[in-house]
Amino acid sequence: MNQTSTNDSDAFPVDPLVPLLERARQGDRDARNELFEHCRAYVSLIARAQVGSWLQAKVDHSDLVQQSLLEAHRALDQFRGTTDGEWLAWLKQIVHHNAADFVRRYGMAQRRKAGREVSLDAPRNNDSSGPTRDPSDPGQTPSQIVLRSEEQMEISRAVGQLPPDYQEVIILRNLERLPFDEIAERMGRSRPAVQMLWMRALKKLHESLEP
Amino acid sequence: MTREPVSDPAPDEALSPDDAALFAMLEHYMSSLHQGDLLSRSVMIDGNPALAKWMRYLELLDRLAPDRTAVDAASSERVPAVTEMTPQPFGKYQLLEEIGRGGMGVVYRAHQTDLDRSVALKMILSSRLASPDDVRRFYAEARAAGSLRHPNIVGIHEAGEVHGQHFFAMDFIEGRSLAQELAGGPFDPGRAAECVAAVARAVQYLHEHHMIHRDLKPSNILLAPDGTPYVTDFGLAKTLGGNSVHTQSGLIVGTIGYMSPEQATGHAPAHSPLSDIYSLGAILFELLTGRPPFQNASPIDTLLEVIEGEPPRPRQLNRHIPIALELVCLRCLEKDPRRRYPSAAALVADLEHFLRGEPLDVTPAGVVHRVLRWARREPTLAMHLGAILVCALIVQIKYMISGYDLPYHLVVMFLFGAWAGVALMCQFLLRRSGEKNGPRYLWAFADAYLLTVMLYIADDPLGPLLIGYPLLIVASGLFFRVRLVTFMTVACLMAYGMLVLVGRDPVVKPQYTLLYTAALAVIGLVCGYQAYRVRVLSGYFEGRGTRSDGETAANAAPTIARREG
Repeated sequence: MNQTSTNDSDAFPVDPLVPLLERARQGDRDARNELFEHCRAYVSLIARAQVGSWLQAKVDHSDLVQQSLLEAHRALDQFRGTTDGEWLAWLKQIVHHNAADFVRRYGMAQRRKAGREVSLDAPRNNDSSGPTRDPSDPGQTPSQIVLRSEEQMEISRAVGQLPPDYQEVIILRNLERLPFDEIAERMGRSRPAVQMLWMRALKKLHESLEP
Repeated sequence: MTREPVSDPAPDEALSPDDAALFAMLEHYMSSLHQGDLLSRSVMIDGNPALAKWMRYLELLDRLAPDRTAVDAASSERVPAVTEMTPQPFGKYQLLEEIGRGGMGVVYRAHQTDLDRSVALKMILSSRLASPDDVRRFYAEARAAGSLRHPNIVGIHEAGEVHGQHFFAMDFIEGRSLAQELAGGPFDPGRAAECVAAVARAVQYLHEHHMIHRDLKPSNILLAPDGTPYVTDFGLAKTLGGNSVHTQSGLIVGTIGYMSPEQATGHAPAHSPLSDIYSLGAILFELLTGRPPFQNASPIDTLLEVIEGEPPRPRQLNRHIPIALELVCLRCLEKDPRRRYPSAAALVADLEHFLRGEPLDVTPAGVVHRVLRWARREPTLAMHLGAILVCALIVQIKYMISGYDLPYHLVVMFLFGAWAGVALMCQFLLRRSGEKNGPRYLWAFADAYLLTVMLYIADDPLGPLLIGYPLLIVASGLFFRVRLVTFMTVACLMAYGMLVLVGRDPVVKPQYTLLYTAALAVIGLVCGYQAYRVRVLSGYFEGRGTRSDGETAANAAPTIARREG
């Protein structure tokens, strides 16, 4: 029995972030800053999708980004993963916890929870309140297409550099997975206009990714 | 977020034709992406390589989205059916048509380009691959089956993945499943014996390689045009020797109608090659009679019958079945695995004896075992007759000791006899009429009525004998039918009321009479509620059971559905 595996994009190095990650973990300040600068666009984009547009009126998503990066910074020692994919999943997890926290704070209930309920699991170290979810559980299924982490960060950066309504339509359509009717309503435009906007945004994205 | 009208197109501006086409394809891909359908990805890319980069963007962006919720996962169950499609490239294969769907995935007829041969490709539904466990199970299935070569087993060529879509390739058997073949009616005994013997040889081969099939049933057996049966779908096979972590202990696997009692009770350790012998017997039964051994409207009734009931004798259903085959069949279907054939090879030997007209190894069961079998086959009648016999014995002994009032004693004995006769008659009606409710209600009514008559002529004090009514109500609960319990309760209440009215149970203390009546009603309520609860569970079970029952395995009838877009 032979097992065949066919995957495109083998040209990418597998885990380009790992060396940086290693140095950052060993306390190299520059590496640490570089790492987080590298991942900022990624965190920023997923933060916007996590918060959801209904909340964006009340919350500046940059608060969430700030908060999440700060937390990731503090809890870096506790990251136990060994691959880029795990790293990105870990970051996503942190953003997710923080977003949930934001939603709770600004949500319907309007009541402020005492203390911050960030981590799902009990922290393994007492000196940090960072999230300590098992990084080997990135919530991915094996059947999913292999996506290189580098590509994910590149596309995040590219989206971040688009004009604002291009960004918005991509976030609504691709990250929040809303149907065009709803996007049209939210953006106050006609449905054909929003669809065209989306196509243009994708093309622009393509231009910036493959100049 | 600030909104700038810079890039806002004029409202009447439309997409150019090229863009519209691209838009349509991307939209289509988005929806399949949201459904977790990865097959269409590879199909679309192979059809139009220029699309690849656009799809890549969509995938990357989708990956950034918040993790899928349960709602999304539920919607991903909708996988497009592909039948009669134009050939779609898939790795080194060309998908030709969908030929069936099983619990784990869709099966396509495909052409293997490099070796120029037809194969059946079993794709695993990506929604079924939600956990690494599922993937492990998938490859375990492929590995287990891939090492096997037998003239009556569907061979596995390869397992792998293309663009994230897991699949395995197996022999394509042109033909129909045994289940489809059975739709045309039962087989003649010789053909049935030959067919089961061939399947049993394959099963023996599996057992020799430390595998238990565990889901043998007509839809898992394919018949080539020349009549050769092929065993397929090792989805639940469990490797005896290796580690068996893939099967959660106690999980009921298999299809209810064909699984052995030890499988039905979910005692995982009890699974053994002998469970497959049982399933072979169930298949032989269906080939001979045209119906599975246990057949009921609701899965819970079937399950109960599999666990404690006895199948009807095949010759009762079809007079032309040779006695020898009936013996073989019932031997396989024994509740106690130790009473079955010790191996598939032993079953093959006896089937060959039958085919050559030689005497069998299996001997007819002993008297005691036959009585037990009968009692399991007709539990209601057996319980009635048993209870009547015990009561009559007690009365008889009492009479022999006292020797007093022969006429009265004869009347009592006659009534016991009549009661037994009524029971026999009701059982006869129950078996004869297709509709089961009429005879059941009649039986319930007769029981309540006869009990009342006996109480009417009984000696004073009645006190302890009034236990008969609650007994009837509780017993009626064994059928798990709320209406039957209600009917019995009302009948008993009315009968007791009559006894009181005619002064057979004199009202000495009215509160006692009322309390007894109330207690009867409450007992009825409790039993009815229990029956209701079991029905609710049964309904839940049915929802899950239909999938395993109705699932079509490899090479089942192509479902009529067209690929969208």
